[in-house]
Amino acid sequence: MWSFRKKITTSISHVVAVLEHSEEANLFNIGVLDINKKEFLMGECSTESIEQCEILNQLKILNKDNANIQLLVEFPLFFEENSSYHVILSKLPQFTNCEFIHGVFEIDNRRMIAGIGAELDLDNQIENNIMQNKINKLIVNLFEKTHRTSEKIMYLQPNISKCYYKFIFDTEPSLREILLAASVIGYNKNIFRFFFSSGIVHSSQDIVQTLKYNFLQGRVVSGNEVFILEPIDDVTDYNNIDKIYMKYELSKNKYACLEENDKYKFSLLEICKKWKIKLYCENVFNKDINSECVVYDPTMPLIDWLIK
Amino acid sequence: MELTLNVADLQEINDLLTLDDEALFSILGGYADESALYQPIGQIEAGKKLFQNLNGTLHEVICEKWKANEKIDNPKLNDSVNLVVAIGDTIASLHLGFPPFVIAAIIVKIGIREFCKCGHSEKK
Repeated sequence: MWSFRKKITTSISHVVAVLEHSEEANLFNIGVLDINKKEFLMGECSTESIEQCEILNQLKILNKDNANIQLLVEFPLFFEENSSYHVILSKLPQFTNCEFIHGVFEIDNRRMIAGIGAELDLDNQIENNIMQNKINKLIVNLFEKTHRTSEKIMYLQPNISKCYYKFIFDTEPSLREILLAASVIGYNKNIFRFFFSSGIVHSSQDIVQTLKYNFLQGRVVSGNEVFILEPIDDVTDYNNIDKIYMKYELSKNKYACLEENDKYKFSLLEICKKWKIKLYCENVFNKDINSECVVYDPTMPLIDWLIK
Repeated sequence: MELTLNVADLQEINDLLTLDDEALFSILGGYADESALYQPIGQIEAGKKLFQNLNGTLHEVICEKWKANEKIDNPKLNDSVNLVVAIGDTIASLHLGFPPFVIAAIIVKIGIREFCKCGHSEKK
């Protein structure tokens, strides 16, 4: 148990973000954010020659110097057993000391791999529950054997980092900027928890009701999370509240490349930004009493707050 | 009653026309029942139900009194924005308490001929 406690109290020194290459399946883009030096490096790795990957070998050296690395991968939830995703996730531990915990499942007569804790999005609810149970059991088994949680590797659905940059700066990001956004999400656990959560956030009507009547104190419980909207005196804009319905739907179009649930999350963020509402996301089972779990705070400049 | 439109209204109509049917129903669903709370998908269903409930009234005013069947041949109304404005203008006179342009945009998306069931079906 000691190592588990140590992990919690040790601050992260580096965040490594791994994203698939947009064009070639065997290539991956890697960004390394040095938290202390505030430096950012990026590189490209091929799964066919991963041992020669310069940026990963630099990580190996850092790892020997006891760097505390947080790894974030932006991969699809399920991928083929022999895919390049599997190759890179299997080989990453030798460079980063981050364990890859995964399960193999049968889907449509094919063997697929799923990252632990990742959101399941299957049409069949029964199948969904069975898969979730299998994954939960696997987490418990692995945790008992290793005394480690799966938090060392963070999983995100593809395009979240790109959209997050778009949300912050309202512009299409370069590859470097996408990797930087991914690293920021990897560093800020509250934002990661929000994007990782399987719950369905507020509808536009929930938001309007919160601003008009403070209905249920802006709380929505869904999945394993409580999403909370908090209007702030003298900050939150109460004008044109009825426009929220349309802004919500237009924002969904802005983030059309995402899964439906993730579109709702970005729509909610856009509303919080425009109407200046504070947003929290708390895990109902694992509430960190030392953290406010803030996902968006309109009283602080976004970038200052993200890297604080 | 004729609506006075400003640039923001026209932008809003243009924005509405970029949305798909479900998004428009979702916007309408926000006005459906303030005592109920909906998930995003539930809000779409609430919008559909509300539109269904208004269907008779809308049909009477737009198709029968306004004579959409004849008006639709006016070249000016070939433009979707103008058509939404014209239908929205007609709906506003009903004082329904729901956003007229949103309802008008839904009707334009359905196709005015389809909505009025006057001849062939047409998607605008």
